[in-house]
Amino acid sequence: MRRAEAAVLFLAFSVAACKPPNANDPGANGGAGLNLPLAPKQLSLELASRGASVAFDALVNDLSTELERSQRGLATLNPAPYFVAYQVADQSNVRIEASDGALLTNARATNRSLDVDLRIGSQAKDNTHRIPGESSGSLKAAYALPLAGGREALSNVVWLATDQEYDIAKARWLRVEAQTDEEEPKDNLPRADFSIEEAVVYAQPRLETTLDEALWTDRIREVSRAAADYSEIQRSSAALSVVTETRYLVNTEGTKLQLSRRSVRVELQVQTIASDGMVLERFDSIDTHDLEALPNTAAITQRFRSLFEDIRALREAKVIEPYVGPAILDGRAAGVFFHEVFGHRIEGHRQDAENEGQTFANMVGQQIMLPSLTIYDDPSALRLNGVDLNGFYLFDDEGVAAQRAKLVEGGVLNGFLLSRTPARGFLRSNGHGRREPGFAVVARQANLVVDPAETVTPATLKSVLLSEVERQKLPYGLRFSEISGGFTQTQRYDTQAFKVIPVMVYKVYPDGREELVRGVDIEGTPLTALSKILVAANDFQVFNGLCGAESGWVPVSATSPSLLLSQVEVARQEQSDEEAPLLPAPSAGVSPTPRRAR
Amino acid sequence: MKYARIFALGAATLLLALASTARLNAETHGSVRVDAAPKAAPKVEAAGELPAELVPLVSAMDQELARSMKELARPNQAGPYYLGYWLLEVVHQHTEAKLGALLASEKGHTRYFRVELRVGSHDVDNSNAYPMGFGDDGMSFGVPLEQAPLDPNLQASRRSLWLLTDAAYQNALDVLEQKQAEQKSSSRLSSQAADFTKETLRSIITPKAQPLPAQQQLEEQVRSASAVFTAFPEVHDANVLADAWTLTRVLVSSEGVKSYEPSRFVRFSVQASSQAADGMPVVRSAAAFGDVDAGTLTQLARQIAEDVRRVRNAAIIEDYNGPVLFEGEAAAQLVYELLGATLSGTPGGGSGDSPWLQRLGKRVLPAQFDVFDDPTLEQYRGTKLWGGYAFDDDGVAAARVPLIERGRLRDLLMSRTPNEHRTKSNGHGRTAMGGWSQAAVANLLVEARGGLSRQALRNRLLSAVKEEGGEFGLLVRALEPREYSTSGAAAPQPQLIVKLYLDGREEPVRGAELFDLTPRALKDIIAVGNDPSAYHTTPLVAGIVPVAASIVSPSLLLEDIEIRKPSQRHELPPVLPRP
Repeated sequence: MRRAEAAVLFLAFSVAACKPPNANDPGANGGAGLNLPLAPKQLSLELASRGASVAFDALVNDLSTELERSQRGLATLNPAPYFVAYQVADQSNVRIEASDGALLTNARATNRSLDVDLRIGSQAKDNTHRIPGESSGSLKAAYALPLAGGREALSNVVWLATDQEYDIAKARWLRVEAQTDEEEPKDNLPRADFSIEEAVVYAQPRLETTLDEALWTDRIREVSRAAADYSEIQRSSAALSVVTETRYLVNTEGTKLQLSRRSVRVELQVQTIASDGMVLERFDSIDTHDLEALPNTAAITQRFRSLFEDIRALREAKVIEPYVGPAILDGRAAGVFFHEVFGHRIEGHRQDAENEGQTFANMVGQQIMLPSLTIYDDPSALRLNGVDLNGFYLFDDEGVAAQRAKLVEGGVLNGFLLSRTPARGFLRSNGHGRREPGFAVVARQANLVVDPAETVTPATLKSVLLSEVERQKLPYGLRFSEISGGFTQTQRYDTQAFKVIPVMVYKVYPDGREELVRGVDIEGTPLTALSKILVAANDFQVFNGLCGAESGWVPVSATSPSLLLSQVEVARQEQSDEEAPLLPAPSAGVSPTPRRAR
Repeated sequence: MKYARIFALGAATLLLALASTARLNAETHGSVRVDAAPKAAPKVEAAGELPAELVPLVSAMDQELARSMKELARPNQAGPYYLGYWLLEVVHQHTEAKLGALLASEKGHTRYFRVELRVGSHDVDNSNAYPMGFGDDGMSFGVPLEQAPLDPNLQASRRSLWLLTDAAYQNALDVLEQKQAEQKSSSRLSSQAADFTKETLRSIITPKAQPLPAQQQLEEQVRSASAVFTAFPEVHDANVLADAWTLTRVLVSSEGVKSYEPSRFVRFSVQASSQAADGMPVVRSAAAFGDVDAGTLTQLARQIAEDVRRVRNAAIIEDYNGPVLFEGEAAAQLVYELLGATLSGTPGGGSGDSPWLQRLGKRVLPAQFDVFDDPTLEQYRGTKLWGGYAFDDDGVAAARVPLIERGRLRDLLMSRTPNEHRTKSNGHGRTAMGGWSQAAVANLLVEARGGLSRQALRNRLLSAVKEEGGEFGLLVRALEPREYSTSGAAAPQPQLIVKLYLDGREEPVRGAELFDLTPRALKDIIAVGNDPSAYHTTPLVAGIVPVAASIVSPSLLLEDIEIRKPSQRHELPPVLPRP
């Protein structure tokens, strides 16, 4: 419906006041010193097993033939490319949306598009080499291909696309070669423009969309009917989207891939305006790899109802006053927090770019957070504690096998998320090169997992919160149970700040009582925030979402247990000037509503 | 489906509901409402009936309209003086093919509610204030729009209208307050024109539209037409597209109007491009409106392919000053670009007042010309017209408007937004449903006395060339089709231009650019054909529905046109041979 972006994690590129990154706040790393009863972790990660390769679809052979033809022609040119890749995304989408028991959308679309990646120069230095003043990542063209068959049309599109991308690459390469003012590197770390990787040949069976549309239309309509019990709440919608996608990749190194996945997502949204004009929104989504994995209609409806209940409670809740003090981030909220505060800053391509803040560029080997914390990103993880993970894949969009990127071990920064564009000192990809069709690949998060070595029970976590409240002589602490999304600024001339939008926030009083508050914003700087983590609980939760950045939208997840931070800075949300409706909601039936006094 | 039964009485219920709406409006609630109430129940012109599946949505419109007009008001402020609810149903089919293969095949079905709400008075209200952008609640340029149920669900429809109306009202008050503050502080003279015309409207209900072609048929047509290009290797890229729409509009307004009109619209397009040996791009595109058969579409594709082949091998034009004959469809498009796109009498807006507003009564064309716009016509001298409707997007009945008589400008196209010279609409308010309506062409027809045959017209061109001591004249056969006119922007560039030598020989040329072409050029038309040809276009695109227009004109010979060879550097030809 109105705000489909609610559960979105976003990396913003605004230009704000100049402020250098703040890298020297040791914070209060008191966690190690606390003497707490430890509790066993409840974390089970199910890794995907790569099935036997099947026969390739005819499209892969056709693409290979076209690639060979292009290669022969391109080899005669000056400059000749040293690498060409063709990636085809074949997508089928179904979206069903209902509101107040009425169907709004039942749409279906299929498309097949081509991305061409073409490199001129050498792996040490090529047309993608950084040019000072240029930002990384870009929108490229995605070329429409025939939906099926169409050998001659395929050939025609590939030819035109290759020609166009060659012109672009050549023009860029001439600029790279003409560049004379490049700074000499200040360190001796090895660097390059394109990593050397093994070629892979692997085909998964192609998945097809199998959706009983009539059945699911009825179910979504039925779920949306829950709104009838909350007529004072203004807007709500329930939607199902099923995306079935097969990506095909061939390149001049001999890689041939055929990978198929299905993303099923139920989106539930509720929105109203509080009496003071504040817009209150709750969003929930259920992400699975298959329709069969979705809960039944009653369970989905129950989740929808709980959003309405939350909104009802939020309407009555008091607006928060500014606060600095300890807080618990529940698992899902902590996941979003790590995605924004940490995940976007360890993307490999941000470490070299002169226009990036490079928060972590020179911190490999240094302690950056609680020594018991380990963080990795693992796209090969299919499920966590039984929950399907959104960021799952077998090979990335550059044909590199998905693998666990060990980012933090024992609180020490260990590495970055890497595509085939190397970072200083890291010359191999770790399978995190991702894109939405039509964008240039960059390193992205997939399944981020915060995995502490030592954990306590949630009850212990709360008791530590309360003792921190007492120690800091505060009237209460805070607990964040849901964060709807956020954004972060990584560019050098930005504030380097992050912002997340918490929606369910509770004051926790010394007697353990909790009180819902609204209108909360968390802002901060990443290194400071990370250094404030004191203790982790053993209750892992998964946040599945979509993440937008330079290379478009990609599905991701972030998993974390609940965390206690010694200090969180909270501001009151900017006042919105929305106004509640003047007339009461139309009542069921056709009897006129009582006339309002003027 | 339970509501369908309750409201299945159809047209009879509709008429009863109409009467009750009128009664509700007759009640007054404070002085501001008086002029909103019609003197009597409006006339109804019913040639069809509202389909049963829309009845619950329209009932919701009735109920919320009555409730809002009666009760909606901020404390101590007036409620709306006008409320118009639109239900828009759009069915859109799209297919696209290249070299015999399907690139896209889509079909969509969407409904929208659109709420046009006015506070203040006809003299000064919240319209004509140009609020920019799309805000919350689908508020687009001051007129909120939101998806409406595909189910016959009365209660969900009422909720949707309730929230849209509230958003429209609160926004309208803010806009009006801001507008009045600006008018007070502004030193410039405020416009004498009011904001909304007073009209006596009638309800109009038209028959159902014919069904759209089957999706499979549209797929097959574009596929087979696109296969034509396999025989033309010198064409680098070519697509054939089909778009078919049914657009159903229902208006229920506080003036007592309840109107319903479904319309239907099919368009095929062929787009082909290549590069000459020197790299200069060669582009040719054309559209065919209506249910053209497979053979006609294939023939059009072949024609386009042959044009590209011919132009690609043609010599580059040299700079030229002199007479130019615009033949057939190119003449109709020229009339649209130079005249039709700016004949709107709607004041202000992004592009400013119509350049014609101050020329009312003056000569703008040679005396043998008459120009009128008539949305009530379905065809003109055997040519099907696509710009027609029974009522415009203000709910005003379509009417023929004589615009130019004996070369003199008599009138402009008017919506319900008046200007300093015109206080009534003439049934030409149109919008793609992206904001307030504005006046725009529907079916623009150019007639001229003393039309010549094509051959006589060419002879006239050659005698003009001879007089000036030239060796050849130019024929423009096709201009680049444009989705809409960006008035004031560069003229559309010729896609097909031919040298006509004194001995009657034709030679295609490429790279011609029309330079400095303004509406004044039309005053110097030296001869006209007797061959009315049509150009169909979509003049308004900022919105969610297609708005079609047809322009019919004979061929036109213009006395003094400046044509230049291409000024831009172009790409290199493809580095790889075509597979």
